[in-house]
Amino acid sequence: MIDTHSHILAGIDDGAATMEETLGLLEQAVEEGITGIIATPHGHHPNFPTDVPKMKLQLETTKQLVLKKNLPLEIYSGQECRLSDKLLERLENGDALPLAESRYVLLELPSNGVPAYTVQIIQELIARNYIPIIAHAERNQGIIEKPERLSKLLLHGAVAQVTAGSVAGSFGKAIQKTAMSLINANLIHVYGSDVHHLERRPFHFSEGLDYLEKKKLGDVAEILLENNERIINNEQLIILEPQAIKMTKWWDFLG
Amino acid sequence: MFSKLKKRKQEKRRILQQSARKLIAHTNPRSFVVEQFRTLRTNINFSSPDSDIRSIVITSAAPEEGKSTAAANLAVVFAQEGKKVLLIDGDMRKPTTHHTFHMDNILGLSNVLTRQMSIEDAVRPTGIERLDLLTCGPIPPNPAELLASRSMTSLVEHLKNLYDLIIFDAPPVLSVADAQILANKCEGTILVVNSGKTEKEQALKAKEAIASSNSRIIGAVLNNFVPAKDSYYNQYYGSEK
Repeated sequence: MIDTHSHILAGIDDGAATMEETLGLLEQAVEEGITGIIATPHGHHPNFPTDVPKMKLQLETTKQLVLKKNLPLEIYSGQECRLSDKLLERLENGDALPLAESRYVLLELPSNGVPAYTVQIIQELIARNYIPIIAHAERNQGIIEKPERLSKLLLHGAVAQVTAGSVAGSFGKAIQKTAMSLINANLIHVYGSDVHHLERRPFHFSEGLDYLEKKKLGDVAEILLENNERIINNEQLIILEPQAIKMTKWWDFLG
Repeated sequence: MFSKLKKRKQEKRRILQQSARKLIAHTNPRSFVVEQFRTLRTNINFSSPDSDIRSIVITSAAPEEGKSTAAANLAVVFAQEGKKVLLIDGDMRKPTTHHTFHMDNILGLSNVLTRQMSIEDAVRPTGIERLDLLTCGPIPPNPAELLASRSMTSLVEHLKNLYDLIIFDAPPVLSVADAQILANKCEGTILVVNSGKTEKEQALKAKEAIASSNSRIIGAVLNNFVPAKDSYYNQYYGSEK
């Protein structure tokens, strides 16, 4: 199983702070049954400075650590790229990184909404043969309010990633509900943990999968995991046709 | 913990087939539903005995009446007949054919019309013999203008040299102008009507709209009709039992 979203590199962003924490996270990953992790530190996020050479160095150090500790784990390069009109330019001159050197780019929208220029950026990326993956779509306030906003982005060729913890319920019931509605409507294609910290933001990787299994969505979980593998291999993802989104609202129960 | 999923691997292909629009003409060619598509094919062939119809638009009055399913299955039965068929996703607002054939939609008609790409590169084989597909491509801001452009007219003419039949999957007639524009560029139009769903006035309005675009309605398809249990249609003629 591949994890396509993680903040395991020490001292780069709000993820792991020290190498000890990184090691803790890597060990937890092995326990969760993960065999490969794409390290995706925040890139050009307003709150964190971006230093690609430093990040690459840290990636190497982490790979060395995995070798030294003999962990059955593969680490891949990547970045959680903040939505920006300079993103394409950054990708082309190496200042922003796609996932595992593939054509897939993890794209982070501002969490309070979907800016109007998102579609334009998606189109630009697609025109240059990059495929944007909308990170933690179910935690975006704009998408929570109106999930059709996500369908619109997907229509233009983007795909979407769900956070394991959202499915497992660690972000609360509302986000879990949104996540499940999006998954049921075939709007989610990729699965990632967005792990930050051993206790505060752990993997919840198998927990989320178990929840899907419990909700009789084991076949969906299977497709999500397969897509994770396909990103590593730079292959075309399995994308099912989007269905109408059913959001259950409390007033639905009033009849 | 999560071991059950591994056993499911073999079933995955089945799941994938179920979830998209059904290409029943390919997956279950002996079904009586497919027989209706063959009847449709025959009727189209007989509708103009003097001249071959080389380009068809499939549309409906309102959304979700079964245009894309009809277009894809019709394309398959024509290919089965031995014709070289190209299915084009003319619905540049809500494209779906790439889902039906499990393809991506990175390249397609919109690239060709904006001259970013040659038609030969954009057309892709579907895996079904003699049937090729041109997906919609990146959704353009101005679908109606693209479809009405001169390059679209010359594209259709060019494609007629390469294929025996071109089938357009078009958006609904009453919502946007695209279908009328496409109908104008093609030799025949088929209107899909969903039984129990389509309003009669809307169907009539759709027919008028197509007629006013100087196109010929070859006929209409009554979709989602559920025949009575003991109906003649429910039996496969010639089958045992």
